[in-house]
Amino acid sequence: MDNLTATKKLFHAIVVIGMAASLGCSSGTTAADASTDGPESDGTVADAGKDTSADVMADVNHMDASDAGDGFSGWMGC
Amino acid sequence: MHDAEIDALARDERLTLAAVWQKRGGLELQVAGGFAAIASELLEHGAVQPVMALVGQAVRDEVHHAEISVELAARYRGDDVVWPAPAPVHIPKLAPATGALRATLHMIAMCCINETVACAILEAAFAQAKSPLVRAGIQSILSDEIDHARAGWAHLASPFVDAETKRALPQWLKRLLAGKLDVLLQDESPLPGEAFPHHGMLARETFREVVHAALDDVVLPGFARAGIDTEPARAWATAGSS
Repeated sequence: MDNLTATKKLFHAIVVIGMAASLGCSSGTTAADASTDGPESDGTVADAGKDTSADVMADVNHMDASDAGDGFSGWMGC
Repeated sequence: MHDAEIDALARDERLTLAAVWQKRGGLELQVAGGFAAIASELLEHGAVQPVMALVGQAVRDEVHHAEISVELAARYRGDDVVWPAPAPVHIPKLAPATGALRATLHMIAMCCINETVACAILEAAFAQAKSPLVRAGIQSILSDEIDHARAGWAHLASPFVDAETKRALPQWLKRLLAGKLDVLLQDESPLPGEAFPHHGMLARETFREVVHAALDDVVLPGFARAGIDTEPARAWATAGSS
Protein backbone atom coordinates (compact mmCIF):
# COMPACT_ATOMS: atom_id res chain seq x y z
CA MET A 1 0.00 0.00 0.00
CA ASP A 2 1.53 3.34 -0.99
CA ASN A 3 1.54 6.43 1.18
CA LEU A 4 -1.35 8.08 -0.63
CA THR A 5 -3.61 5.06 -0.28
CA ALA A 6 -2.71 4.87 3.40
CA THR A 7 -3.87 8.41 4.09
CA LYS A 8 -7.27 7.74 2.54
CA LYS A 9 -7.73 4.84 4.95
CA LEU A 10 -6.72 7.11 7.82
CA PHE A 11 -9.72 9.33 7.18
CA HIS A 12 -12.05 6.57 8.27
CA ALA A 13 -9.81 5.29 11.05
CA ILE A 14 -9.34 8.71 12.62
CA VAL A 15 -12.01 11.19 11.55
CA VAL A 16 -15.05 8.98 11.10
CA ILE A 17 -14.43 6.82 14.15
CA GLY A 18 -13.32 9.81 16.19
CA MET A 19 -16.46 11.78 15.45
CA ALA A 20 -18.59 8.74 16.16
CA ALA A 21 -17.14 8.66 19.66
CA SER A 22 -19.05 11.83 20.47
CA LEU A 23 -22.38 10.77 19.03
CA GLY A 24 -24.94 10.37 21.71
CA CYS A 25 -22.80 12.17 24.25
CA SER A 26 -24.51 14.89 26.18
CA SER A 27 -22.63 18.00 27.17
CA GLY A 28 -24.08 17.66 30.63
CA THR A 29 -24.85 20.89 32.37
CA THR A 30 -21.77 22.90 31.54
CA ALA A 31 -22.65 24.05 28.03
CA ALA A 32 -26.25 24.75 28.86
CA ASP A 33 -25.28 26.69 31.94
CA ALA A 34 -22.75 28.65 29.96
CA SER A 35 -25.38 30.09 27.68
CA THR A 36 -27.03 31.81 30.62
CA ASP A 37 -23.97 32.82 32.54
CA GLY A 38 -23.72 36.22 30.92
CA PRO A 39 -20.61 38.33 30.54
CA GLU A 40 -19.30 37.38 33.98
CA SER A 41 -19.05 33.76 32.96
CA ASP A 42 -15.62 32.49 33.89
CA GLY A 43 -14.47 30.41 30.95
CA THR A 44 -17.39 28.71 29.29
CA VAL A 45 -18.86 28.04 25.88
CA ALA A 46 -20.45 31.47 26.14
CA ASP A 47 -16.97 32.98 26.27
CA ALA A 48 -16.25 31.45 22.90
CA GLY A 49 -19.01 33.60 21.48
CA LYS A 50 -17.31 36.72 22.74
CA ASP A 51 -14.18 35.73 20.84
CA THR A 52 -15.87 35.69 17.48
CA SER A 53 -16.69 39.36 17.02
CA ALA A 54 -15.60 41.02 13.81
CA ASP A 55 -12.89 42.99 15.58
CA VAL A 56 -11.38 39.91 17.13
CA MET A 57 -11.42 38.00 13.85
CA ALA A 58 -9.68 40.91 12.17
CA ASP A 59 -6.90 40.51 14.71
CA VAL A 60 -6.72 36.82 13.95
CA ASN A 61 -6.36 37.44 10.25
CA HIS A 62 -3.58 39.97 10.67
CA MET A 63 -1.45 38.05 13.10
CA ASP A 64 1.63 36.38 11.72
CA ALA A 65 1.32 32.76 12.73
CA SER A 66 5.03 32.04 12.76
CA ASP A 67 5.77 35.02 14.98
CA ALA A 68 2.96 34.08 17.32
CA GLY A 69 4.33 30.59 17.92
CA ASP A 70 1.00 29.02 17.12
CA GLY A 71 2.22 25.45 16.88
CA PHE A 72 2.73 22.98 19.69
CA SER A 73 6.19 21.53 20.02
CA GLY A 74 6.55 17.87 19.26
CA TRP A 75 7.77 15.20 16.94
CA MET A 76 6.05 14.83 13.59
CA GLY A 77 8.41 12.28 12.18
CA CYS A 78 11.39 14.50 11.66
CA MET B 1 17.62 -7.44 21.94
CA HIS B 2 18.95 -8.69 18.64
CA ASP B 3 18.39 -6.44 15.63
CA ALA B 4 20.45 -7.27 12.56
CA GLU B 5 19.64 -3.95 10.90
CA ILE B 6 21.03 -1.95 13.81
CA ASP B 7 23.99 -4.24 14.37
CA ALA B 8 24.98 -3.97 10.69
CA LEU B 9 25.51 -0.20 10.98
CA ALA B 10 28.88 1.45 11.46
CA ARG B 11 29.49 3.20 14.79
CA ASP B 12 29.03 6.72 13.37
CA GLU B 13 25.81 5.68 11.63
CA ARG B 14 24.41 4.29 14.87
CA LEU B 15 25.30 7.52 16.67
CA THR B 16 23.48 9.54 14.00
CA LEU B 17 20.30 7.55 14.50
CA ALA B 18 20.72 7.52 18.27
CA ALA B 19 20.75 11.32 18.22
CA VAL B 20 17.52 11.38 16.24
CA TRP B 21 15.72 9.08 18.71
CA GLN B 22 17.19 10.86 21.72
CA LYS B 23 15.82 14.17 20.43
CA ARG B 24 12.47 12.54 19.78
CA GLY B 25 12.39 11.46 23.43
CA GLY B 26 12.50 15.07 24.54
CA LEU B 27 9.91 16.10 21.98
CA GLU B 28 7.52 13.39 23.13
CA LEU B 29 7.69 14.88 26.62
CA GLN B 30 6.88 18.27 25.10
CA VAL B 31 3.74 16.70 23.65
CA ALA B 32 2.91 15.22 27.05
CA GLY B 33 3.11 18.75 28.46
CA GLY B 34 0.84 20.01 25.71
CA PHE B 35 -1.76 17.36 26.43
CA ALA B 36 -1.54 18.07 30.15
CA ALA B 37 -2.35 21.73 29.48
CA ILE B 38 -5.19 20.77 27.18
CA ALA B 39 -6.59 18.34 29.73
CA SER B 40 -6.71 21.16 32.25
CA GLU B 41 -8.49 23.41 29.76
CA LEU B 42 -11.05 20.75 28.94
CA LEU B 43 -11.73 20.16 32.62
CA GLU B 44 -12.45 23.88 32.95
CA HIS B 45 -14.40 24.46 29.75
CA GLY B 46 -15.94 21.09 29.06
CA ALA B 47 -15.57 17.98 26.97
CA VAL B 48 -17.60 14.82 26.57
CA GLN B 49 -16.38 11.82 28.55
CA PRO B 50 -14.70 9.94 25.66
CA VAL B 51 -12.65 13.02 24.78
CA MET B 52 -11.67 13.64 28.39
CA ALA B 53 -10.60 10.02 28.73
CA LEU B 54 -8.52 10.09 25.54
CA VAL B 55 -6.78 13.35 26.40
CA GLY B 56 -6.05 12.21 29.93
CA GLN B 57 -4.59 8.96 28.63
CA ALA B 58 -2.57 10.86 26.04
CA VAL B 59 -0.41 12.45 28.75
CA ARG B 60 0.68 9.01 29.91
CA ASP B 61 0.99 7.73 26.34
CA GLU B 62 3.39 10.49 25.38
CA VAL B 63 5.61 9.75 28.38
CA HIS B 64 5.64 6.14 27.18
CA HIS B 65 6.63 7.33 23.71
CA ALA B 66 9.54 9.16 25.28
CA GLU B 67 10.53 5.93 27.02
CA ILE B 68 10.42 4.06 23.71
CA SER B 69 12.45 6.78 22.00
CA VAL B 70 15.26 6.99 24.53
CA GLU B 71 15.45 3.20 24.78
CA LEU B 72 15.88 3.01 21.01
CA ALA B 73 18.51 5.74 21.24
CA ALA B 74 20.37 3.71 23.84
CA ARG B 75 20.16 0.60 21.66
CA TYR B 76 21.69 2.51 18.73
CA ARG B 77 24.41 3.97 20.95
CA GLY B 78 25.04 0.68 22.70
CA ASP B 79 24.95 2.19 26.17
CA ASP B 80 22.59 3.24 28.95
CA VAL B 81 19.27 5.00 28.59
CA VAL B 82 19.49 8.77 29.04
CA TRP B 83 16.25 10.40 30.20
CA PRO B 84 15.63 13.83 28.57
CA ALA B 85 16.55 16.90 30.55
CA PRO B 86 13.77 19.21 31.78
CA ALA B 87 12.71 21.76 29.18
CA PRO B 88 10.14 24.55 28.89
CA VAL B 89 6.81 23.52 27.36
CA HIS B 90 5.41 25.92 24.78
CA ILE B 91 1.64 26.28 24.89
CA PRO B 92 0.44 28.47 22.01
CA LYS B 93 -1.33 31.55 23.34
CA LEU B 94 -3.42 31.95 20.20
CA ALA B 95 -4.36 35.52 21.04
CA PRO B 96 -6.95 36.91 20.98
CA ALA B 97 -8.76 33.65 21.71
CA THR B 98 -9.69 32.88 25.30
CA GLY B 99 -11.80 30.41 27.23
CA ALA B 100 -13.59 27.62 25.44
CA LEU B 101 -12.54 28.86 22.00
CA ARG B 102 -8.88 28.63 22.96
CA ALA B 103 -9.40 25.13 24.35
CA THR B 104 -11.01 24.09 21.07
CA LEU B 105 -8.19 25.66 19.06
CA HIS B 106 -5.67 23.76 21.15
CA MET B 107 -7.55 20.52 20.48
CA ILE B 108 -7.55 21.28 16.76
CA ALA B 109 -3.85 22.17 16.71
CA MET B 110 -2.72 19.21 18.77
CA CYS B 111 -5.14 16.46 17.70
CA CYS B 112 -6.74 17.34 14.36
CA ILE B 113 -3.49 18.66 12.89
CA ASN B 114 -0.39 17.43 14.76
CA GLU B 115 -1.48 13.96 15.76
CA THR B 116 -3.49 13.31 12.61
CA VAL B 117 -0.62 14.25 10.31
CA ALA B 118 1.78 12.37 12.57
CA CYS B 119 -0.25 9.20 11.99
CA ALA B 120 0.34 9.48 8.25
CA ILE B 121 4.04 10.16 8.80
CA LEU B 122 4.39 7.21 11.16
CA GLU B 123 2.57 4.93 8.72
CA ALA B 124 5.01 5.91 6.01
CA ALA B 125 7.96 5.42 8.34
CA PHE B 126 6.66 2.03 9.42
CA ALA B 127 6.16 0.95 5.80
CA GLN B 128 9.79 1.47 4.93
CA ALA B 129 11.40 0.38 8.21
CA LYS B 130 13.07 -3.02 8.32
CA SER B 131 14.65 -2.82 11.78
CA PRO B 132 12.44 -4.99 14.03
CA LEU B 133 13.01 -2.76 17.03
CA VAL B 134 12.21 0.40 15.11
CA ARG B 135 9.09 -1.20 13.63
CA ALA B 136 7.92 -2.23 17.09
CA GLY B 137 8.55 1.24 18.45
CA ILE B 138 6.80 3.02 15.61
CA GLN B 139 3.85 0.64 15.74
CA SER B 140 3.39 1.22 19.45
CA ILE B 141 3.54 4.98 19.05
CA LEU B 142 1.24 4.96 16.01
CA SER B 143 -1.45 2.94 17.77
CA ASP B 144 -1.61 5.64 20.47
CA GLU B 145 -1.43 8.54 18.03
CA ILE B 146 -4.57 7.29 16.28
CA ASP B 147 -6.48 7.66 19.56
CA HIS B 148 -4.95 11.08 20.17
CA ALA B 149 -6.02 12.23 16.72
CA ARG B 150 -9.51 10.83 17.24
CA ALA B 151 -9.88 12.93 20.38
CA GLY B 152 -9.75 16.12 18.32
CA TRP B 153 -12.33 15.00 15.82
CA ALA B 154 -14.55 13.70 18.60
CA HIS B 155 -14.36 17.10 20.32
CA LEU B 156 -15.30 18.92 17.10
CA ALA B 157 -18.36 16.66 16.78
CA SER B 158 -19.37 17.17 20.39
CA PRO B 159 -21.87 19.65 21.84
CA PHE B 160 -18.98 21.61 23.32
CA VAL B 161 -18.11 23.06 19.91
CA ASP B 162 -21.21 25.01 18.99
CA ALA B 163 -22.28 26.54 15.69
CA GLU B 164 -21.00 29.99 16.59
CA THR B 165 -17.56 28.62 17.36
CA LYS B 166 -17.54 26.67 14.08
CA ARG B 167 -18.30 29.86 12.18
CA ALA B 168 -15.22 31.44 13.74
CA LEU B 169 -12.90 28.56 12.90
CA PRO B 170 -12.11 28.89 9.15
CA GLN B 171 -9.59 31.71 9.55
CA TRP B 172 -8.14 30.02 12.61
CA LEU B 173 -7.56 26.80 10.66
CA LYS B 174 -5.31 28.60 8.23
CA ARG B 175 -3.36 30.13 11.09
CA LEU B 176 -3.06 26.83 12.99
CA LEU B 177 -1.92 24.92 9.91
CA ALA B 178 0.65 27.55 9.06
CA GLY B 179 1.84 27.73 12.65
CA LYS B 180 2.82 24.09 12.62
CA LEU B 181 3.56 23.20 9.03
CA ASP B 182 4.95 26.25 7.20
CA VAL B 183 8.50 25.75 8.40
CA LEU B 184 8.39 21.98 7.99
CA LEU B 185 7.07 22.13 4.44
CA GLN B 186 9.23 24.99 3.21
CA ASP B 187 12.50 23.65 4.63
CA GLU B 188 14.58 22.10 1.84
CA SER B 189 17.33 20.66 4.02
CA PRO B 190 17.67 16.88 4.40
CA LEU B 191 15.82 15.41 7.35
CA PRO B 192 18.03 13.99 10.10
CA GLY B 193 18.81 10.35 9.38
CA GLU B 194 17.12 10.33 5.99
CA ALA B 195 19.94 8.24 4.56
CA PHE B 196 18.55 5.33 6.57
CA PRO B 197 15.10 4.44 5.21
CA HIS B 198 15.29 0.91 6.61
CA HIS B 199 15.42 2.50 10.04
CA GLY B 200 12.16 4.35 9.45
CA MET B 201 13.69 7.70 8.54
CA LEU B 202 11.77 9.60 5.86
CA ALA B 203 13.43 11.67 3.16
CA ARG B 204 12.33 15.31 2.91
CA GLU B 205 10.51 14.69 -0.38
CA THR B 206 8.58 11.73 1.02
CA PHE B 207 7.80 13.67 4.19
CA ARG B 208 6.36 16.55 2.17
CA GLU B 209 4.32 14.18 0.00
CA VAL B 210 2.87 12.42 3.04
CA VAL B 211 1.98 15.69 4.80
CA HIS B 212 0.19 17.01 1.71
CA ALA B 213 -1.68 13.73 1.30
CA ALA B 214 -2.70 13.81 4.96
CA LEU B 215 -3.98 17.37 4.58
CA ASP B 216 -5.86 16.58 1.35
CA ASP B 217 -7.28 13.21 2.35
CA VAL B 218 -7.76 13.44 6.11
CA VAL B 219 -7.41 16.84 7.79
CA LEU B 220 -9.27 19.14 5.40
CA PRO B 221 -12.05 16.63 4.63
CA GLY B 222 -12.35 16.13 8.39
CA PHE B 223 -12.92 19.82 8.99
CA ALA B 224 -15.48 19.85 6.17
CA ARG B 225 -17.26 16.87 7.71
CA ALA B 226 -17.40 18.79 10.99
CA GLY B 227 -19.24 21.60 9.20
CA ILE B 228 -16.31 24.01 9.03
CA ASP B 229 -15.59 26.05 5.92
CA THR B 230 -12.18 24.90 4.68
CA GLU B 231 -11.69 27.41 1.85
CA PRO B 232 -9.10 29.57 3.68
CA ALA B 233 -7.23 26.45 4.80
CA ARG B 234 -7.31 24.98 1.28
CA ALA B 235 -5.98 28.23 -0.11
CA TRP B 236 -3.08 28.00 2.31
CA ALA B 237 -2.52 24.32 1.47
CA THR B 238 -2.36 24.91 -2.27
CA ALA B 239 -0.44 28.16 -2.23
CA GLY B 240 1.46 28.90 0.92
CA SER B 241 2.64 25.39 1.67
CA SER B 242 3.59 24.21 -1.80
